[in-house]
Amino acid sequence: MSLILEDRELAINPNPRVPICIALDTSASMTGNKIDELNKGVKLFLDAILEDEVTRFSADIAIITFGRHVEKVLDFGDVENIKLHQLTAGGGTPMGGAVLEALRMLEDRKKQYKKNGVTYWQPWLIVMTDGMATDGSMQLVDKVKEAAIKTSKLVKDKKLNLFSIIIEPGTSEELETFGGKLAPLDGVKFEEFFQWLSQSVSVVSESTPGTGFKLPDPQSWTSIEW
Amino acid sequence: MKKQSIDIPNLIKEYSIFIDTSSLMRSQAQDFLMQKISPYLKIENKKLVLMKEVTDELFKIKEDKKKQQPPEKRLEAKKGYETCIKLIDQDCANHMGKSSSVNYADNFFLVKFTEERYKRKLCLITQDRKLSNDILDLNESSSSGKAKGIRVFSLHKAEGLKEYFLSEPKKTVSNSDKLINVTIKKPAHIKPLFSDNTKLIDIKQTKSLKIEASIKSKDELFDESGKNVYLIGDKIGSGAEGTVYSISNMNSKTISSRSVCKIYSKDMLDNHRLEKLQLMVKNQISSNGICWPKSLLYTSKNEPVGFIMNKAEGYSLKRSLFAHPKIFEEKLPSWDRANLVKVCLNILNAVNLLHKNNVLLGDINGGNIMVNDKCETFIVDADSFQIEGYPCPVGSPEFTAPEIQKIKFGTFLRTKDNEYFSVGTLLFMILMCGKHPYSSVDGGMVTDNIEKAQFPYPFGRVDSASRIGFDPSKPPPGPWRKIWSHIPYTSKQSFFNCFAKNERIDGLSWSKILKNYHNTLEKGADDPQSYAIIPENYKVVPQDVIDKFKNDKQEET
Repeated sequence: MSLILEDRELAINPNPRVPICIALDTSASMTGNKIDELNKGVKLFLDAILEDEVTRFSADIAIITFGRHVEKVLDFGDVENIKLHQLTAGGGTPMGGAVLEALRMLEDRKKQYKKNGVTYWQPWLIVMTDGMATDGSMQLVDKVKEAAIKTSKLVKDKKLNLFSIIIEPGTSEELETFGGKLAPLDGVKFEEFFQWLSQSVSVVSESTPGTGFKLPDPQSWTSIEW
Repeated sequence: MKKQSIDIPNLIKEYSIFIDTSSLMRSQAQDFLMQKISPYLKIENKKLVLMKEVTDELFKIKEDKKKQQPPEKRLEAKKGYETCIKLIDQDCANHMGKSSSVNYADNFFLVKFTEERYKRKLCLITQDRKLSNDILDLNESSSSGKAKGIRVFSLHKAEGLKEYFLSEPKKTVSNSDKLINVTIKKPAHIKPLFSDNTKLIDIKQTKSLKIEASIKSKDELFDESGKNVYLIGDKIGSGAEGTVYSISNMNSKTISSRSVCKIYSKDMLDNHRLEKLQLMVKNQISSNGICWPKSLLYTSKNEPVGFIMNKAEGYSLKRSLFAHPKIFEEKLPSWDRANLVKVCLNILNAVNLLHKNNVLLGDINGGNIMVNDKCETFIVDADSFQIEGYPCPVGSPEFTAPEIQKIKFGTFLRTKDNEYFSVGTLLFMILMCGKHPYSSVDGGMVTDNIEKAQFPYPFGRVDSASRIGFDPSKPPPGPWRKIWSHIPYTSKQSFFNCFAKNERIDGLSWSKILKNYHNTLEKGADDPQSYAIIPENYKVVPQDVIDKFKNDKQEET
């Protein structure tokens, strides 16, 4: 039933969609100030998206957290209806698994668009983490490597816009292998980051699919220049 | 007054001759065609063109299933129909075209003549003054004189054929046939404001104007003469290139309700943009529907910083007609389909005026056109128009013709034909509530879809025969096919030609086709659902048309 309703909503909306999956680190090391600021940032982001009548119907957002396990906290198509729970920190950093899950979700979403004759922009994937993955090269199955092979190819083929954000005290070592854009977050400027992200989504929604677009200057939350 | 007789043999030799229903219903039609025309046809080994739409119409009037026709009209149609059969039997006519639910054969002639006018000389025999004007207008609208020439005649009791010419307002109209009695000169051709034959200016080689000023509300600016002082008012909106403010003229101390100004952001005004603006200010195209630069604005140090233009009202198409149905309904709750067609016509008026003066919009998209609740439209971002050698530096791939998809905007000059694709896409999206013509099941990125040119909507029986790879399962789910079913035949045909066959028509032709659509809605469409923005049902096809379709099909097989 819900699937049919979902398809109906997909079909009736003429706007091209931009699927955006945000993968957030909620491991134990995020406890305290960081997880609080992250919660504020995510809320601000969703509010900003919903507030604008164009982005509300063109930004298609999903959120995954990775801590105790990989969890889908917001699915595509639900942004208007869902009340997002506060994110809590704890557990490891299964980032590789999270990115793989995100890619699978984005791929499924694209299939749904195609089935419903919906046009779309290339998907966006945002990964934010403050530490080394616990499902990476130390493990028997290196999910980070597996994910990186996929993402770097997608980025190279221009089928994915990937933004990797390093939260202090994380390093760029693993995130670099994903390809795409990489930047360290200044302190806990989550709100600034998500403000920038909503502006970027807005820029893309106002542009046309398949084109280049000029993202706003990220200097409010990072020291590097893109 | 000197009468010019028509050289029929020569006409037959040089032109393809079409006949309209109205002429075939004239009492003298049969004799004239069989005696005066057919002998020459045989000599020249040529044939008249009898459109199926015409014979269908004659048949419909003759049979008169709805019992609406006076008996004499049915008799005229009967005789006309017999004439057609005779002509075909004696091999004097080609019976071609498409029989279907066409209501207005004259629309059909317009489309046919628009398509064929570059291929051969065309002649139409009709008694319909309005149709003759529309057809003759094609001679005027043909770009760069490529058209081979179109002539229109009526059947006349005494003279056989009488030629129509485009009327000028003051000339008298004869009482009987409402024809112009004398040969009238065509209206003097008004020279376009801009040349269409200029070399591309390399806008990458710009020089910075090194403008230091940073303008904000309450600053004072001057026009070129320095005599008029303007006070910058409130910010209205801002974009990547600059900010739009309200403005008041200090000399008259009034806040203009009609004018606003655009002030460029730092380094956004370079020497080429300035030269183009100066060219535009010098050559005014004035229309409320176009926010043309009226005057440049300078600081007290004589630095150019922006320009004054007409104020645009309402919402961008993107945020109204192209938005989610909820938003559309919220903003324009009382609208029906006639409003949508009116919006198309208003935009076309502006586009046609620009094209006539060799100005191309370049970056046509839903964000650059505003519309208010009175259906008035405003084209903004005039400073990015393509004028003479100055290319339009930007573009929207969603509206960009396939042949220029991969070329970097601003590095080439667009052609009118390129722009007709954008115009077609825009009109389609207005009538289809924001849905892109190439959104289809299993489609993907818009730009890929454009290059594949898989137009997913069906178009009559022409479709299956002429379109390779058309898959009827591809139209997107949702209300789109229902909307499509309610769009009239000629509009659908023109969209189909544009998106499935890459054959585009100019803005003037679109205006005519959509005026007819508007007239149909004004007069009263058969199906009340044809007025709905998003109809609940497919268009109801009258039973006689369905029956006829079935019969035709049986005959074919």
